[in-house]
Amino acid sequence: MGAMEASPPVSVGDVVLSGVGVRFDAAWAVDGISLTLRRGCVTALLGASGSGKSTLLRAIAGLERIARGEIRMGPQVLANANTHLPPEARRVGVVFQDYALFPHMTAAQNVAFGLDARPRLQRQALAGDWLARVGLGDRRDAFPHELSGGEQQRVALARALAPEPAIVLLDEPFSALDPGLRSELRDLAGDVLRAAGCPALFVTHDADEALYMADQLAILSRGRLVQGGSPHEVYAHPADLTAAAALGSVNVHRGRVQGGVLTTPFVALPAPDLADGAPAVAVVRVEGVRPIPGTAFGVRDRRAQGPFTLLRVEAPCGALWKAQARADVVSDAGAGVSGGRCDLSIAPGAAHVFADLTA
Amino acid sequence: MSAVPQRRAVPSGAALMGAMVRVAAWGLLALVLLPVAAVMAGGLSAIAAGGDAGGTDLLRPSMVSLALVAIVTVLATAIGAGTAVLVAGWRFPGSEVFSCAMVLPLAAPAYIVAFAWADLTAPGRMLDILPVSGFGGAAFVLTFTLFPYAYLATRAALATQSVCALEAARTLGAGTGRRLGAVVLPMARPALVAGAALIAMETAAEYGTVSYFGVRTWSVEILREWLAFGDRAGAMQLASLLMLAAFAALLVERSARGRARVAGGSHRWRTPERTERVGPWRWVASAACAAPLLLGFVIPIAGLLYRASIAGVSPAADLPSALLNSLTLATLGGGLTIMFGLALAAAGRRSAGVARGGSLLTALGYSAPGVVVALGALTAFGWAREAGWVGGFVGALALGVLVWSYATRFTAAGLGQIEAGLQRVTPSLSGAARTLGAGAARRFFAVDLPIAAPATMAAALMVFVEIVKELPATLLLRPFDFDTLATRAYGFASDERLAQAAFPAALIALAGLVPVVALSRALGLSRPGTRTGALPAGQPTLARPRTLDPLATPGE
Repeated sequence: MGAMEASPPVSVGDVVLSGVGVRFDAAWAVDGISLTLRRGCVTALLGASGSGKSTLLRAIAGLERIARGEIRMGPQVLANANTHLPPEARRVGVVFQDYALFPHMTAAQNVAFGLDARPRLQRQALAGDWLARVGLGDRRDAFPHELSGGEQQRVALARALAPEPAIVLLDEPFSALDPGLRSELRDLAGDVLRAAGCPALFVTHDADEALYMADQLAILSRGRLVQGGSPHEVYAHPADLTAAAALGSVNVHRGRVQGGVLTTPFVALPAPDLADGAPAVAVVRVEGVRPIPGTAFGVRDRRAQGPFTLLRVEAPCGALWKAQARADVVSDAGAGVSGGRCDLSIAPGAAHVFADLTA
Repeated sequence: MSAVPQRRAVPSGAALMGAMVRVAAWGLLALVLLPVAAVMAGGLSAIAAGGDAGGTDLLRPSMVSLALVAIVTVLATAIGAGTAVLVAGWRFPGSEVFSCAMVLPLAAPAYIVAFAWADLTAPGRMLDILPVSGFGGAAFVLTFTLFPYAYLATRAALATQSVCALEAARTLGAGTGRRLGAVVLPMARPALVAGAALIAMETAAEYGTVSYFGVRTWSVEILREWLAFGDRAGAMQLASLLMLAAFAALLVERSARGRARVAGGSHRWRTPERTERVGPWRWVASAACAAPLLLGFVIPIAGLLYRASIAGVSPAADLPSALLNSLTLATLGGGLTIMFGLALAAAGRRSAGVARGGSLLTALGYSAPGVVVALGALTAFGWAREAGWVGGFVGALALGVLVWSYATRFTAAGLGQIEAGLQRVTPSLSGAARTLGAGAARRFFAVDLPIAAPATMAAALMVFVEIVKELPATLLLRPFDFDTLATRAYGFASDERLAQAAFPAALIALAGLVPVVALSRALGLSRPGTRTGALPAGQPTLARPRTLDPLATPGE
């Protein structure tokens, strides 16, 4: 905080994590994380619960010590194995999962809490500005318990951003909201974060949310970074089964490569990089599997999914894959899928074959 | 932020700070516990050197104390838990009133209820049927004045029990009896144990009631040894043995509680439905709640007020000065106790060792009878005088020692409540304050303290009243000619001048009503889901009533 009021919004560099590891007693909660968080860029950290994503966020905030690696902000070392800049000296803005609004302060007092080094009038004006910016200009004097969930979330966002932090961290910021409110707040948060111009990192277990909000995506599994890149890149070219499965529903088949091809019960997939007899796993995105007229496979059942219909298709050997079709193409009457049977067409880019490391 | 690298070797700085906090906290604990430590050190070393505890027969007072503690604990726990189950589970005539009123007996100290019953049942008086006196009288009075501890603990546990388990039991076909025996009571067991432990400790430490009825328990025996036989060394040895037993009991209770941790499981609080009772059973339920309330509070206090209102008796001339003295002592003692509690609670949040040690050691101070604390405080004072640090035991210095021994007795009560209040400051709240740039001091004063303020105020109020009610330490340590409401009431009663005793006694009961009513309200409000839907997690309300239990370890 110390240097902040002397020099108002300064350009601060990217935040760079290299080989970061956090240890809880004997176990490494996260390890070997290298990631660059760029200014004006929203990064999503996607992972299942227990993958270590919240731990990594807390380590960047300074709420957790790192045992290995280094976290830098531009030229400044925030933390390494020997150094730990305390959170109050890091200029991080954090939106906590439960929002952590101070229950004894009004919305405006909450937002002004991080502005204590400024003159009183300026604090009040800034707090008012920020509340207006998140659409709460008329709720300045409300206490947290008088605010709805969405309003609390917006106060938390304003409070984190008001001190003009060098980086903003959001821990599952939308998980406590109902779906309608969630999409509205995603847009608001995205706009406000990009306008703030600092690096922003948010943690989520919701693939749609990560794809929708992020400029950069990082997938975490069991404390390790599985893959990082643009949402499109990670979606189109997953590094492995985990990365592919993290971004949506997939069909999986394990087998051995024969002559550069992995044959699944439904389709043969080219596996040019794998040797003959190598164990391999085929991963096919459900949204890339379309039923076409034919009689090769049986249709076990169909489920409505809004504009789509989800089918479970059964191969002669009994294996089940999921396929997706536009609802108007595959009606309940079964147009296009006559007699409860169909063939499958795999969209280009929807299927991936990886070496099966579990075999 | 400047672009200059700003390295800070925090580990060493933070470690130094942490070490200083720990040293200060243990130092404070040592100061609080010094009277108890002095008694134990002095007494046990004398026993080791061949002391015979003044030649006192140890077996008799032990048997009397144990019998009294056992009888009172069993009866009071049964009454308290039984009425709590009735009030929580059924709707019957007066159930709403009983729900709050069952705590009323806590307002009047047991010795005052004892005077009143002795007076009411004396030959020729209104209730001259069966005289309340002797061992039976002490057991009767203590049972009906202490049962609210079990009531409060059980009711709080029932109110916060997850309704899910209860509904699950219902869908699995369990009837009322089976739900009670197999689900409700087992889930409330930690609270039951805590309530029973509190009753047992209060009974063991009681002085006014048992000495008034001539029951020779350990407390009475220690004071007799000290004052009647003038053998302070012998009294110390007796007291040290008692404290050793108390410490052992405390450790057993702690470990039992550690295993019996029955957490709420689901956090979906909902008020368990109360069934409407119809038919004759509803009157039985009403009577079952009314009886202990009448015996423990309404009849004796009404009797006292009647006594005080009889024409021809006017309050003693020194009553205003006794009132002022009581208020002064309670303000000073309450203030010191709460300051100690705040300091220990704040240090306990930084160090788990301090939190555990503070909770255990202050509980030891709480379990020490006032007689023992007074003995220890005088002993420690004697050491200081031998060392030439202080002068004679007079005036302000004597008052200082008295206030200090209140802190020894009651820090546990304040600490427990404050810790419960500080638990509202969740880790993410602290984290939010830190990431917004607040250092340790600002976090404590701008976040922790305001959030814990309601609980701290409740704790202060409770300690204040405990001190107004406190008798033995005040009796022993007060400066010459310095009287409080408690010492006046006890003095008059001992002289068989009960009409005169009624005035100060009624004032004490009146003072006691304030926090009891506040507590009772808190009991109604503390349950999330009452009033306007769910109370938000951070909304300041009075601390949960089960934090009345000064032995509660944080995190339960």
